[in-house]
Amino acid sequence: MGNRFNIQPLGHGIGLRAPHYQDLLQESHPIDFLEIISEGFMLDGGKPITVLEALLEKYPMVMHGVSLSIGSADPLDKNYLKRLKTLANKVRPPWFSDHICWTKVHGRNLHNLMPLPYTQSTIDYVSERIKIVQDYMEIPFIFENVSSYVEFDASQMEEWEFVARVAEQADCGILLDVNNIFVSGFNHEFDPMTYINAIPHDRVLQYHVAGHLDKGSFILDTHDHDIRSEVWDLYEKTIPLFSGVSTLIERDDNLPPLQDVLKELNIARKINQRLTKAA
Amino acid sequence: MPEKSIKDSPKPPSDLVELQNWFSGAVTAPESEKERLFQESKQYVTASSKQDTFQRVEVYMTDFWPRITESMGDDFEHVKTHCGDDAFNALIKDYIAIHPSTSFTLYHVGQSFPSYLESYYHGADRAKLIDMAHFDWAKCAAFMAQNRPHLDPSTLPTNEQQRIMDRPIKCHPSVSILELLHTPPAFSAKSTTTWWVIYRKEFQVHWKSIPASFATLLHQIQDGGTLIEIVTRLQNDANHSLRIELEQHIQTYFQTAVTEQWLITN
Repeated sequence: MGNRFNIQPLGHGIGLRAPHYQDLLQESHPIDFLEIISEGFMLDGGKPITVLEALLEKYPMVMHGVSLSIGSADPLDKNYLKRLKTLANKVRPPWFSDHICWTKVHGRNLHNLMPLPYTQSTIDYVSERIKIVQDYMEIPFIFENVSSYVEFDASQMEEWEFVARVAEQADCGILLDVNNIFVSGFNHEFDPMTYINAIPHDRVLQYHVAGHLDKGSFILDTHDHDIRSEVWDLYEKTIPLFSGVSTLIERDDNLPPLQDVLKELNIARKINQRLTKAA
Repeated sequence: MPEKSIKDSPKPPSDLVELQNWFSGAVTAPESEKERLFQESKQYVTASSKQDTFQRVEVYMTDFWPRITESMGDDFEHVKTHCGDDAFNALIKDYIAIHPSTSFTLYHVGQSFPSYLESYYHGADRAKLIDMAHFDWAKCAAFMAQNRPHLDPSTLPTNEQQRIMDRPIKCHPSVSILELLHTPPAFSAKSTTTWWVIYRKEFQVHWKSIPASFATLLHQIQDGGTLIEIVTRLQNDANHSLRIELEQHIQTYFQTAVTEQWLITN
């Protein structure tokens, strides 16, 4: 059993973040791949572009976006897509990802990942837009499930059914963010395993694992803390259900030294090794 | 091979348009709108056992402004320090009401801030704040400007070095030339205007004070042309005293511009 796209997994990787540039450039580390935030490298120039070019010589990379706004009522931003493709032509990733959400409307970017109503008309609309993007980019697209803090009255189905149906209708892959499922499970009072069991197993190409902040009445997806044991437990339960999936440790804020991020990467690697041996 | 075209987007469902219109308005709404949003949220959002409908929307509301003001604070560090947190945040909210972010990245959100201050800010510290904003934004622009190899005559073949005067030159995309009444980084007031170049060298952003005649030369270089063409334009346009000063220093200016990596050649 593998993924339906016949794409080889990349292994265990981390997000490329500016405070780690020097360390990554100067030393060799046991990192199988790096994930870049696409928009940070879609600028005209500057140090990040030069660092990217140097690190492409050392590590395979994938691109992860935050502003595609695939679910927006606005038309797709063609200028954005052209810049994204220019970057992809440089990075040559096996896939690229963004979130199943919207970030802007009327041309105004909210710079946050806003959830969608889970309706048939939204499935049709978003799937069609994913097909357009995937056709233009000419590389497989995988979308990430977002952490959310609201549920809309208009929704006609659960989030996991929506995610599964969009992936099938758009014929694209899924970036399964285990932490986001944990966060949304707490916020919307569902069992995370119900969600994970409903995901088409051959469409998942990548996992995200990250830290969050417990605010009492809700959990905030902050990526600024170590990964909590409950999320590691969920990750461990998830792995046997899928195969051929790459894992990424996602840390964005309150960044520790690279060695600390690599410790978390090693935890993921050991969990995978242990489960592979047991199987 | 011709570039692949991007198909047009499908028409969005009307209920999705309505929901996004409402939600984006709610997320960016001021504190005074709370009561209205509390009522409206019941139409669109489902409550959980731990949060009512408005508390759930509020999670997004409390995220929006800090994200914008932190990004603007990083970009406009002198303006923020001068104003203090509360006044700066209020200023940014007024700015965003007129110039909402339309870019895919927060790196661009401040690009209209200096011109916004010129149009709308009328405080007693107006001139100082505008100087600070221009200076801070020039640093951001230098950071993310296009990578172009700078003009380095020593790397040119000998025959090319002799023809340097014939090569079209321009300022490097990272270069901004500013005319300020306050001297960075302290922004102390000066009785006369000072000229500054903000630029990127070896991926670090720098700034340097220059004489007025040098600024005039750099402005001409920004318009492009060979050095001979640029000098000819200056001889026609500059006033007498400026022309004399340029004639005395042009070689030094050119050498400084080359050393500081302010020039590119086509």
